[in-house]
Amino acid sequence: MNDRELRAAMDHAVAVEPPPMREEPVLTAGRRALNRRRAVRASAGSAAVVAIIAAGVTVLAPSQGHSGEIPVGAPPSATKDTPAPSTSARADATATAGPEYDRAAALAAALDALAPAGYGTPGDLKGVDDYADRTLKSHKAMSAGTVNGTEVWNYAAGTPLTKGEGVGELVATVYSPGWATTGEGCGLRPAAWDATRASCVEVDVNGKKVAVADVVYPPQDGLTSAQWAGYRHSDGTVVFVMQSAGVARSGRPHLGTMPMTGPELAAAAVDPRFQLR
Amino acid sequence: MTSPVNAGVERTMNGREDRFAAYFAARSGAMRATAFLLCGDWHRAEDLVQNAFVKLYLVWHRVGQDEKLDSYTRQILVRTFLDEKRRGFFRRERPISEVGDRPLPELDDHVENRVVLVQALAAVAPRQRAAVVLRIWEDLSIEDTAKTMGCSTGTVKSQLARGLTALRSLVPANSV
Repeated sequence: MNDRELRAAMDHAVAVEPPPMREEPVLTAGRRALNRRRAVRASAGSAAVVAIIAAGVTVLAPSQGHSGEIPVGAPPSATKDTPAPSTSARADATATAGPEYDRAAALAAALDALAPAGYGTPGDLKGVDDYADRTLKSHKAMSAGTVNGTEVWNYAAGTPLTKGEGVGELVATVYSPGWATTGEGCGLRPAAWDATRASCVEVDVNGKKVAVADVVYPPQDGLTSAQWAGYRHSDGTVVFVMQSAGVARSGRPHLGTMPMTGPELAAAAVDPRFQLR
Repeated sequence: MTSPVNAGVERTMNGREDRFAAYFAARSGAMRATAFLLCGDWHRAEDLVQNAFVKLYLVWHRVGQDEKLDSYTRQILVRTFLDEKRRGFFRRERPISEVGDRPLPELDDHVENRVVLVQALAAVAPRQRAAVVLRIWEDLSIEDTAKTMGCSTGTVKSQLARGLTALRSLVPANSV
């Protein structure tokens, strides 16, 4: 596949797009972010004035505006902006009720049941900074499209695993029968999380060949190492289960070790509870 | 009753918002397509575009509406994507908190090939993926790709080479 063919394939991939995004949610989120920034600046300015007055010096509040190059991709103030809820996101492909939603909820329950003894799976633990309003536990069901007349669903769930002050996580994603896959064991394609960085071994679970991959990220990525297991059931259901000893944006220290062994994770991938049928 | 001074402020704000809204209407679709190739999921793509445009909104009074605006917006988008990847957010799936009412797009018979490419892209490391999307699909120069990603041209070249190798190993030659 040369560059021209790859470009054509990418054109094809984005050719069928959802309806246009609505502008109002973005404007609303922008106004809120602007108000937050102004409030923080006003607060900081007031604090500075109070401090300086206390020192016996009279000053004017600093100018709000300034010129110069704008930092790209970063909030233009020292404060972190909370992302607005995804009001613009397509809801049509996400099940918010009904049997598919229930399967995602069942996946979340299966993940909770997988937690080793001594670990907690709190539902109210939230992230920090700009993700302070999002819980670390979540689940969803989303249509992945129709393949050969069959609608394929993707179910995903994640839960924090806590022990003492430390927090790690379990994440699972399941594709219903019909998802286009090839191979088995370490040859299963498409593979899950960051396959190009994965070091894979095959684990036999009662005669079933399961891929168990260790993923190590470069230091500059700042991501905790992860381990995932992947298996395609005979009915075509594909299950990936991942564990990590840390959670980005949790504001809490990592667990000392991975919560589970590789064989335990492999056993989870073939566990019928993750088959969701 | 609105005072003359406040009315002036409102007109300024409305003018600013009108221009921003017009730009969003014109360019959010293209930015969403880029975001989709970066993250492989229309939901996440829209979340990414929304976050990028909110950041743009905050500096809207300081950016000029010229040919560089798209480049600047794309920089925000790509760096937001890379930042969120670095923080690990996209490793965890999130439910969509608010819903809309738009219909599911029609899918054609080639959806399987589309899925193969998108899944393969998703399996490529984020910085390699960004280099591939910007250089191959956006047709940016190496220099512009480097500026967009916030790295050196040498880094872009190495990330691009690795990304293309990884992508070609993941996508069967006759599948797209």
